[in-house]
Amino acid sequence: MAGTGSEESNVIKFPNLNSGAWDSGSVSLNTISKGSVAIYQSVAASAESNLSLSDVINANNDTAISKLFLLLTSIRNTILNCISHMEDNDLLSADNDLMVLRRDSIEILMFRSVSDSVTLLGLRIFQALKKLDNPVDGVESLRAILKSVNAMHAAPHMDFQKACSLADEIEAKVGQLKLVGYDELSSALISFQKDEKI
Amino acid sequence: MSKAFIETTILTDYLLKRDGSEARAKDLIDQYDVAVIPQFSWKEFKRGPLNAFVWAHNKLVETKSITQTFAALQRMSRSPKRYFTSTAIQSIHTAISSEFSELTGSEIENIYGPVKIDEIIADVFRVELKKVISRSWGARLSLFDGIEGRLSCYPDVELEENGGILINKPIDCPSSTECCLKIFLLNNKIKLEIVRKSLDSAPDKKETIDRKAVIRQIEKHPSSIMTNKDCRKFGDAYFVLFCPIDHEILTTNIADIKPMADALGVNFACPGGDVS
Repeated sequence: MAGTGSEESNVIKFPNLNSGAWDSGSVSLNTISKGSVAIYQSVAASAESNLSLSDVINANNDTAISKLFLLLTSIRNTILNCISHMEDNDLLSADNDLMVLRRDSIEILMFRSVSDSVTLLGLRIFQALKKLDNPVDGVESLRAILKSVNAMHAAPHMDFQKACSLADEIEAKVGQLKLVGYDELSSALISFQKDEKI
Repeated sequence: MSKAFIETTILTDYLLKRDGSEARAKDLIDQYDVAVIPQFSWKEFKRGPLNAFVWAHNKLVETKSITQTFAALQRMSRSPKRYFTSTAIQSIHTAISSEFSELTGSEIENIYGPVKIDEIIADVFRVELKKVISRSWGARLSLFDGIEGRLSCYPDVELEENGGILINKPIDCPSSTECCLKIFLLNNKIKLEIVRKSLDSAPDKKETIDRKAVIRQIEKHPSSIMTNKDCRKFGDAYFVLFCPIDHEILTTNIADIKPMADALGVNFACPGGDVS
């Protein structure tokens, strides 16, 4: 979970938006609300003063999107660190990053009110990171997750079909991601309509 | 060149299941050079399994609870079959809750306030269903080269969303429209008779009796309107009567298809290959 404040990984490394750091997400400042810009400035300051994510979130009673934006920034940076560690074959550091990611990613589900696309991608990212329990050969999976993180950051209200495609891309890399209880529900629904039909 | 004629049960497994049935359906379809999905399969799919999924989605919107959704399904059942016992519902809920146990920690609540785990579970199930529903219905336009055997009386329309509720209408042909299959059936009365007689050896159940009655009505009263109820009852007979001569029906519903297919000399196959 982002926000305990004790670990360095919780400290936000503020990306330079004008440097192309969000290339794959096509982020522009035009897509960010005024509130988000204010949060950005806070985050930038926090990066210098080592404030934790939770410190910033609690200090800014801003919109859900602004807070989501902060969380995605943190997750994105951890993913980039993790990929870097994997590519350097520093598996212990990479696994530490994965643990942080597993803890942080579930928080995306606290932003379900933003859009169904955020809910779907938050779920898939959380499921994927849970399944990704070994840093060996995880780079491609993380890149697919990163693409979704960047897409949410760029357009949290993206078309649901776009979110479905991104979710499918994650599954294509990680393998099937199934909700516990889906089989029971789908079987019951299919049986029900068969049994009850005229 | 081998050609498959995909019946609704295989389409349902392929698009909606995640328990291995979908992989078995895919393996079976992959054995054929060409796969055809008639629009009648899509029509049955939308009216049946997809409609049930849409109901579950909308019930989750209303109740914001997976346990209440399961319980609502059970309450509506007119058959003695129990889809979920209270114990089963509780155990599913416990299993799902444990998947998201990280959300119930005090650290999350310190940041975001009280966590309503039931609402979160309902929401993730809802978007999962929304994805499956929209992707599967959207697939009709492109899956295995798209829709075959178009039904001129059937309005093929997209699903709609209004205030978070999915709208799955229409699911039938307009009631005033004559069935576009009727002319073929009237021109193939011998085949129709063979199918009707084969139903004598079909499973003794209401579905079989109803199907026989509809075929009888078409034979004896060719000018009578085939209603939407008649169309539903006709159901599986479509696949044996309309399967192109060089195709095989793919189905999991062997019990109902086999007597009719055997009588007409139509080949069929099911996942696993056991058609006895």
